[in-house]
Amino acid sequence: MKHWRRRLRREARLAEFRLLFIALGFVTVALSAVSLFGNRVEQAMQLQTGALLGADGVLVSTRPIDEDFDALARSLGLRTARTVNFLSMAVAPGGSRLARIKAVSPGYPLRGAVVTRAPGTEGEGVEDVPLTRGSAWVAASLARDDALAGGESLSLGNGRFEVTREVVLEPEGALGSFSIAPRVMIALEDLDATGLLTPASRAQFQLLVAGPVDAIESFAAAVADRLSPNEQWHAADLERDEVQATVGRVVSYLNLAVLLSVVLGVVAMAVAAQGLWRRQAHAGALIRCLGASHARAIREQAALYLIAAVPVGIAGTGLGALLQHVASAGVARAAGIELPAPTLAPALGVVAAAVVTVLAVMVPFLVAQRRVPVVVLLRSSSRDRLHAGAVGVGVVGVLVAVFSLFLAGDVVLAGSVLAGLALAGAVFWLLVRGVIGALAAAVPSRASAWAIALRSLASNARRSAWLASAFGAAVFALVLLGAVRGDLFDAWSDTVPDDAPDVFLVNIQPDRVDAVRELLAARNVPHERFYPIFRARLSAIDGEAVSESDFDSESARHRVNHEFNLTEDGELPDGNRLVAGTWFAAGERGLSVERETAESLGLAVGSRLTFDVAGTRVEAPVANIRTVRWDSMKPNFFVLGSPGLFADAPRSYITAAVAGGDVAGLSRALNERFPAVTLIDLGLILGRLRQLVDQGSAAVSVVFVFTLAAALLVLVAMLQGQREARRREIALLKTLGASRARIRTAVLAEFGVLGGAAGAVGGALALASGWLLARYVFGFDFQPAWQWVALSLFGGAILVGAGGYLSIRSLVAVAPTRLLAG
Amino acid sequence: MNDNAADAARIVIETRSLGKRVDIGNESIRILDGIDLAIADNSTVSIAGRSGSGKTTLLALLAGLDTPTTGEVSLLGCPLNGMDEDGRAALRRVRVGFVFQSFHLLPNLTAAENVALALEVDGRQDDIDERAADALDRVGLSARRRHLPSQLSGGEQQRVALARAMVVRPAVLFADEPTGNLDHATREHVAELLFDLRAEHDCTLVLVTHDLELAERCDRCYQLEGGRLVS
Repeated sequence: MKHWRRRLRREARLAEFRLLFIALGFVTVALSAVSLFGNRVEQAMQLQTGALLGADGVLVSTRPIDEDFDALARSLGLRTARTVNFLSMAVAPGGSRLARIKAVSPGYPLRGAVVTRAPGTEGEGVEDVPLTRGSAWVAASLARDDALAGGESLSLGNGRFEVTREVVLEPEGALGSFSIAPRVMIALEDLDATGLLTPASRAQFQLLVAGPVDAIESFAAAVADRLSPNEQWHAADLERDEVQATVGRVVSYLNLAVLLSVVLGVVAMAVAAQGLWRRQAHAGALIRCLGASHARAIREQAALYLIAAVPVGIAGTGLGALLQHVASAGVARAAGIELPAPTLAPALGVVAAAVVTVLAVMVPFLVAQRRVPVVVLLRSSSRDRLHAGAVGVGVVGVLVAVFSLFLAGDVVLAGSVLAGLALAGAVFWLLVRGVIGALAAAVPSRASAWAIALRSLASNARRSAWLASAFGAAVFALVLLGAVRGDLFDAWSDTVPDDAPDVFLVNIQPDRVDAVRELLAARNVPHERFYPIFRARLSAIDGEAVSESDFDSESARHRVNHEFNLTEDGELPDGNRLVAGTWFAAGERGLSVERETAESLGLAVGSRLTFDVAGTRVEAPVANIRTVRWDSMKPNFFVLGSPGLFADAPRSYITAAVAGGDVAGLSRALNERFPAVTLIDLGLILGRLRQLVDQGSAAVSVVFVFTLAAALLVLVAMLQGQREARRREIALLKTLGASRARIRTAVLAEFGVLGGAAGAVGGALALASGWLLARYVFGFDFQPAWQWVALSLFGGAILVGAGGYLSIRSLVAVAPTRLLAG
Repeated sequence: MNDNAADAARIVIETRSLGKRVDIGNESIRILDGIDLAIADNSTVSIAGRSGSGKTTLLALLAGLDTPTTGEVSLLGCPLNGMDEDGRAALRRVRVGFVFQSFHLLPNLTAAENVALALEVDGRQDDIDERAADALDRVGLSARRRHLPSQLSGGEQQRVALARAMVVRPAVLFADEPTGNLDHATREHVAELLFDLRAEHDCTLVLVTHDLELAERCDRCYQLEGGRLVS
């Protein structure tokens, strides 16, 4: 250990070595902070998602669920609750209504809350009222139903219950379930006394679980092989497409920020490593000259980097954790939410990334020295020409690609960023070598500061191109994140605008559509179109009968095992986008399938689907495949048919409307005239979505700051690396009689041109990548703000020009002999 | 042992038809051609010549730092042609010292650490610091042992390099223009020190220089002209 301490102490005297590890430390801090913060935000959003379901995961069965599952969950440290759901008649002194009964155990819900208020009152309600035995909580529509009006009690089978609360919001206030009956909630202990549930009853039994993510995953894995055909496991994140869409965008953005931070980090380190390479080449040549083998030289250097990288990685991760803790506290205060503690995995990943990155930027170069005889390496002019070669560049490239795919978890996202960066690199190279070279040839021969600057750029084409590429990468990352961030915020605002539909009206019979439309118009309630709904089961694909066992994926099995809500539509619905095939031509018989549904069932344009619609078989080809904006809060459909496809099938209608603050009034009015129509209050899901957007916006702002810091690090590393390279050039210019003012102007001009060119190209390419990402990853319309290019051009010129000038300012004041000696 | 055998044993460096060509662009340039040389143990040999005559290239070939295009080299009885680079490095580690025109001190190491580096490469763990201190003391720099190269004059840097070369007690010392970067007074001092240390350690000195005055201090002087050695 003494040997390595001594080696580390010596190496730390090299500015290049210090810079490399400062860069590593900084990158580790940023990476750690961003990934831990992202991890916490993702967990928090998972909890929000869980709040919609009432749990982190639910085991659903058509039969009573075995106690063993409950015991297993508790042994893993999970909290549990149970519910039983079924349809039954609720009887009151004034009449009876079909109701959705939910019997719940103590502790329900495990996530989120049931919001209730006193029957017949207005207001937002409260969360923390316990459901006691003998009590029933009923939906507002039921509480205000004439049939039950005035009744303070109702009967369910043999059980008599006192109506103590009116349900305002509850988990599973679900979009997409199109339930037709209002809710009645009772305590599970009271269920037996009703006598409603017999072995032949059609009911849904649920075991809800909640707890740490690891434990949920362990539970899911443990039950996977034990599920009977009538049991299904649902994790919270699979449940709500609307929430998934919003969470997905936030997580994708965080992943993008982490990805760009990593790429910038590697660029910063590669820049810092350049100066160190030459030092190491000299040291390596000398110790080989003194008798060490090349293998030993590599081994010792690699071991040294490893020994230095581990503590730097750990310290950086710790500091990053501290920073994200501070940031999280700020976000928690701003958004009024608590972020869960981060898991250990991202921290370990960051330390591993630190070690791998250092070895990746240094070892290829050490290996490349083997090709060069010792005597050649001892010449300083030869060392200046050294580079890691194609293998080194390839290794760093592969490293970045692997990190990108791992961190992004999304091929399109990683591919867009890497392709953008690769293209940017190629363009920078061509720009500097071509355009600036041509400019230099055109400048007058007299030794003006501008001529010196342009010639310096052109004559050091490799160095200039490398600098431009490094700085361009930083600009690329910042503009990409900045531009996408702005449009992402706008898109999020659009996601849940104030006038978004907040109620669904379902089970509207065909002969009542016009009357319901008139009622809505009379109350000035804006609404969407009325869509016909056909309940149907998928029975065959391409003529082959299908069953649940034909598919591996849970989503496919779920779709085959459940009824679809189909509709007919002659127009592509708002928020839908075709990704394959064409929209129905006039008179064409066909189906339009949502993309993920098509993928899970293995469908393509031309596949023939057969649906069983109320006993009638309807067969049609898939005419097109489309994506759906699930978070649009409008009726969306996995499968829709061309007009008239289900002409003879029984149907009901659905629409979405904006009730504003008058949900209760609308509900009463509907109940009076159309008792069969059910109003689904989307207040809970809208509220949750808005909270998600708030969290996402705060998180995005924080990670942007971290990435900005990583970009500045690239600039500092780049300018620090320049300092040594410029020492001899400045000495030469001063020896030849150039004044300090002329040298300063030349340096300002050279760095300014470089920064401006790299900024403009980086900005333009970032907007192009932003368009790709917005379209294919985030799913919103991106309006390229071309002022970013102007900002990048001038910002780059000023930042790099001033930074370059400041970095060499002290050299300009030093005598040439001292510059050459130093 | 007969006289012939004793003579043969005293030869520490020997070359036969040694040649070196380098390719620059499409052109192949001959640097050395048919060098035959035998250097006896404990002798001092100088190789002089104009700049670019191939002196440094010849020294690199003799020390196993580079490989010849044609011919053979033997160092300390070991034919270098049959050895890979690691083998040649192992031979240098235990028996060879170097002094260069541009010193080749590592800028981040103090004077004492630069001297100790040669011992560390030799794999020694014990008394490194003491031996490095003794070597610096011998060249008159014990007071500067904690200084970095940038804090030393050119003459002092070359004395540190001399201490580094001698601290391993080499059998052969290769010196490439050891006074080439020094002023006249310092040059004389360093030259004195070089020859004194060689005598103390009884090692063979192979000196490459364009300084004829320095070259003539050696037992035997060669001139390199047109890629060939002339006595």
